[in-house]
Amino acid sequence: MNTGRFPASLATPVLLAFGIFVLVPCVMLLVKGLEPTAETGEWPDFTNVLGVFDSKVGQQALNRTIRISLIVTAICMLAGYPVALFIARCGPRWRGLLLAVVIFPFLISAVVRAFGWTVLLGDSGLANKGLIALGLIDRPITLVQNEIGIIVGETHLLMPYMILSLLAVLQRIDPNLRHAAESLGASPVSVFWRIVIPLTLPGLLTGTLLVFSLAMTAFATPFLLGGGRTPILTTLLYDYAFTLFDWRLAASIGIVLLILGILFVTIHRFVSSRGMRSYG
Amino acid sequence: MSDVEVSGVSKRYDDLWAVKRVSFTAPAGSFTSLLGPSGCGKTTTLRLIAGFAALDEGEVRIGGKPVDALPPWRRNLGVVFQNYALFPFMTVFDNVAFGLRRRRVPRGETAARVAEAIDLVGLPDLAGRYPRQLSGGQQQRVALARALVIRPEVLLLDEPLSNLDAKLRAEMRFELKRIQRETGVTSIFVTHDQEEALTLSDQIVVMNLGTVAGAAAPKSIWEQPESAYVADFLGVENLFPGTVGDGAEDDGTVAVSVSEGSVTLDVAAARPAEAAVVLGIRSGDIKMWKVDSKRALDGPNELAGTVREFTYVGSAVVYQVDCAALPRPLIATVQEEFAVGESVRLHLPPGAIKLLRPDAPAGGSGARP
Repeated sequence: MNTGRFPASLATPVLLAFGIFVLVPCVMLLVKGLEPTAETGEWPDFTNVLGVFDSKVGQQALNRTIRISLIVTAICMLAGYPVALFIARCGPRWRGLLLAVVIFPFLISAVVRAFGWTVLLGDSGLANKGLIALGLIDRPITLVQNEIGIIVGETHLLMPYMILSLLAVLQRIDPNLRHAAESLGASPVSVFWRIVIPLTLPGLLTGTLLVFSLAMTAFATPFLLGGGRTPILTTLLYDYAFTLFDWRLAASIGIVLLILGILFVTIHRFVSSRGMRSYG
Repeated sequence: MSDVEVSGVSKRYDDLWAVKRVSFTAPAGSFTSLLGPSGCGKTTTLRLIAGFAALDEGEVRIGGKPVDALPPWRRNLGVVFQNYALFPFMTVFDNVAFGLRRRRVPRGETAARVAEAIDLVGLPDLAGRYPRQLSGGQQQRVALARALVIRPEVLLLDEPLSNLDAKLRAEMRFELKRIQRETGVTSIFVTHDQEEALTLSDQIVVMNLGTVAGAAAPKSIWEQPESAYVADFLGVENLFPGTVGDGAEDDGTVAVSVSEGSVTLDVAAARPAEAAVVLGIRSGDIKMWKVDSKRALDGPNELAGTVREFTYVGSAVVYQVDCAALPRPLIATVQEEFAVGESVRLHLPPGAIKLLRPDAPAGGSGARP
């Protein structure tokens, strides 16, 4: 049996399907978005795509998308790192249990999760009651149907990606490296910054890539927790497509999202290749 | 330069004593080997000296000062690991400079001392390379330079040669000896290789099941091992339990009957305190000749045997010989050639037989690595 051909023939269906289902929609998106607006217009017509940046709603949605994605990525990184560090140092039994807890958000549907947060973050929800009880605020503040709601929901959803990416590298760190650094006079704080952080950089970069791109393209969570007055690009796209039935505008936003994604991946690759030059 | 006193040190992992009341002293400037099979507690002992694990009992003193309350980063020890543990994302220079930078040594001095250390370990100019771009031997030298550049009070080496191929290992053995002599740093070296321990050390501490089975200079431990276990680990191939007879001899020998055998051997040794002993003889000390040669089987310590198997080792031939008078086959290393199944005569010189203290079954695996 020719084993060389074997995986190739098995991989073909999936690769073919992916190829078709990625390429064709992309072409359709570009065609729709760059279609001339006027009957006599010329190809390609960038009016609509540029229109996204011109309109106040579009610009706000774009800024909000980037802002929220950055904030969510930062929170996942800062809050997820200690969690990953802690899980990596646990014994096998606790590690399994904690991993289950971390992965749990994956198992709940977006609707249920969003509903839960709506209750918790509502005016008479646990969060507001707690803050009032602590004396930090006098009256309930709005925590949901705005950007805060989106950030909370997306952080909850995307945290596991960051933690799992970090865990993958943390668990492979040779404990002797830590000991070697200690024997050379590095205190635990110094070991963390000079040895552990550089060694986990690949995981941090992977986690950032996943969280940022998923935060940028998330729809259900921002749709349910953000409400109508805080549109981001994905929810705006939905509005154009299914409320206004303006497919051309919807496709334009799609193109903007695509450009943002490519831009981010390019920057990420550049930073990675510079930061990881020494990792081989 | 400081001496290291390990006194009554114990370490428990759950219910297992990895190290139990281990004591030895490594004099200042000496080279001490901790020798034993895997799981005998030698690496744990090293880790306790380095401070990577906290001991449950006992005390470690370096230069007379107790160090048990000090974390590893305040002990000023150089450690070389079996897998070298070089920082993969740092160049050779940054790896070696790491300890100096933690000590806030000025930049100019750091560069000078790194260069000096790289020179000491015989590395060519590879300062800008990353560890993965180096061969195993080069990584080994970087690890040594990194440990020595901080001018440690003690150098701890955890099986540093075991990942190298045979030729490189022999070369690094000489290098290690030269470096230790040039720096004069007190060194403690963990190994399971008796040859490494014998060639490098001023003192060998043989460990078994988390305890010290014997400690002495290489020559004395080779010539007169303390116990059957130590003898077995130092390559005494033939070990037979025996009982010292009552009859007093005038010629300075004692008669020992081999247990489960039918022979009494004369041994040139003082009468031991206990009657139960283990007889040990190295295969190279045994004489062997063909049965049809004119010599008769009449002298003391002479045995009849049949060659069962042999292995050619280049400089000699190692024979496994069945002897009716002994419970197990005898191993003999001689120059002459014999055929399998050939009847032979063997002579065990009384001066070559060692009277050893019996102890725990030899070769037993320890508690845990």
